[in-house]
Amino acid sequence: MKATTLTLPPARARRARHEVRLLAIDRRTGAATRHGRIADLPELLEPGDALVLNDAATWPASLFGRCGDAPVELRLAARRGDTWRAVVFGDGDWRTPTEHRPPPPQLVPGDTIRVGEDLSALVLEAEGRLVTLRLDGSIHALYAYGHPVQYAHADRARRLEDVQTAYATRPYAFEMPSAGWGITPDVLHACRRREIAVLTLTHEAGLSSTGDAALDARLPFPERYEIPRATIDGLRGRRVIAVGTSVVRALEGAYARFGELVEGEHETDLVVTSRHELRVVDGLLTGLHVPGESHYELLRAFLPEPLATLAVQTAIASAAYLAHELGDAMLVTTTR
Amino acid sequence: MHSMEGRHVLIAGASQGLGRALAFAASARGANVTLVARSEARLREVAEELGDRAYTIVADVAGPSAAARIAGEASDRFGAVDVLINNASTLGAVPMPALFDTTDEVLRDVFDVNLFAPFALARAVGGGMVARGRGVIVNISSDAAVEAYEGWGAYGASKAALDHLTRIWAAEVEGSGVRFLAVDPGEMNTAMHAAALPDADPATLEAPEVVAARVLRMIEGSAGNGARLVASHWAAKEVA
Ligand SMILES: NC(=O)c1ccc[n+]([C@@H]2O[C@H](COP(=O)([O-])OP(=O)(O)OC[C@H]3O[C@@H](n4cnc5c(N)ncnc54)[C@H](OP(=O)(O)O)[C@@H]3O)[C@@H](O)[C@H]2O)c1
Repeated sequence: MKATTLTLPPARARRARHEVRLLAIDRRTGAATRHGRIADLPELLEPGDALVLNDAATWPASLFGRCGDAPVELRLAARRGDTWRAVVFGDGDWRTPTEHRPPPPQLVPGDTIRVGEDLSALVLEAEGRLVTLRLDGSIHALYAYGHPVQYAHADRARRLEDVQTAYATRPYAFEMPSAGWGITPDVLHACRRREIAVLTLTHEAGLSSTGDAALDARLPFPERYEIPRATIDGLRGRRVIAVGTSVVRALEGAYARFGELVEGEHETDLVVTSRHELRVVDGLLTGLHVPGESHYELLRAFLPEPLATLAVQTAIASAAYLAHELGDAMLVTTTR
Repeated sequence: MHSMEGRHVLIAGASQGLGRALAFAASARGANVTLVARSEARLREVAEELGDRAYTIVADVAGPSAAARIAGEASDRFGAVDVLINNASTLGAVPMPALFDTTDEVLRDVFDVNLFAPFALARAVGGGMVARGRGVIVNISSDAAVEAYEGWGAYGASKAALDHLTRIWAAEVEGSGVRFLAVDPGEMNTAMHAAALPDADPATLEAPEVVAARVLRMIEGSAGNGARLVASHWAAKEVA
């Protein structure tokens, strides 16, 4: 089977959290050790392990507005104080796949996008459809006008609560850190009862696509993260299982830059691929991704080829799994 | 003891009455307070008195996506919510009709504000609390949840449901470090009481400030997960 022919059906109607299926893969062999459910996670981990979550809540990152007469959609992609980075889309709605949208007008510094009576965006810098903005308006107004970024392959528009993990806390992500979609507080509670440490960090999971091939090639952009002291202390000496690529990026990014994990807010431009040698993270819970996606590249840091391909083939062969952000999950650990 | 100092307390229904008093009391104990209510003018008045350790969100707790919006906005301002107090509540139709005269709409509205909204807010912030292994969620109940007062059908049923939701949720998180409490604040001299029982003698009612201080001591103290606390009894216990 050629790598490029590997596909999984995308999830249209999302799984309810507790329905998320979990494929457990052994890091040494790429073979399945369990075809289960997310509720099996605690027993698939060992007492003493640390499970690290990205507790970022997802911003209502999509804003529709007008620049002069031209309708545009802004998709917020990063925040630095009241300055935001955004990708601009032309007219259309969430049902239009981004690649089929008409191009947006070329914005220039000084342009203003009016979103609503008490919210507008002043363009500070523009590079094609990538812009830096100052939002003039309150966070309250942002929540009033903003919607979650939508996926064209979903069966209905998603509400703000539909793009939050069950443990979402501070708004910090621009797309849901979706690997943890199925993890309910009850799963976390069961982990603790099994003496698995549950730890959190916050990472600015950014956009996964911009509708522009040249820009997409530059993804992911540098992203912010913050690791609390309790997490740094808590994971010392433990086997570390990251929930999602954003957690891998934060932990490995911190280590790559500082040679250790440090407290406070920092930025990383680390792109984890098969060439990256993991220094902090031992295991990964992730969505099901196929070759060509950046998440799949990151998976190969845990499962060097041909093991990653084998794992994806296993998922396809069982016909039980849904791919993409709204789908099922894969746990990659070294089983003892 | 669970000190309020530096904690983030989110109060739904904070523009007047008990919620307003809770905001003042929590702020006086060093908490960062997020206040939620529909009336912008009244909220702003309270916030101005509290200064920059208070943040206000004008929102209807029963509005679309209200819980996710409120939780997000509040956590952007003060970080993770440590204490959620679900105090916003409606009587429904006033004067309060017998059940045969209660419309489906009124019943639904009352359940939307008194049950579904606290449920959604607790779910929006409670998962993060379990992940961090600490937090308190207080649902404000009423003795109408227990006693069968004529005319209090919609309200009483919604508060009874809220009580039971609190107990079951408490059972589900037992041992996680998170506490769910239900509090019956007793009869207080507030706009709600005046609307429900306009002929009551205010002298027989407690000041909401007195009750608020007690509720905060319950949160700070050892009130166990799943407890249903009756503010007036609690006061007697403290004296004893
Ligand atoms: N007073 C009593 O004797 C008594 C007795 C037993 C139990 N209780 C309970 O104690 C709590 C406080 O009562 P209270 O007497 O202080 O009531 P109140 O004077 O009517 O105050 C209620 C507060 O909730 C807010 N609120 C109501 N509906 C809301 C909504 N849909 N969205 C957002 N905010 C909303 C109100 O502000 P806006 O109108 O500006 O939104 C106000 O700040 C309630 O849960 C009540 O059921 C009271």
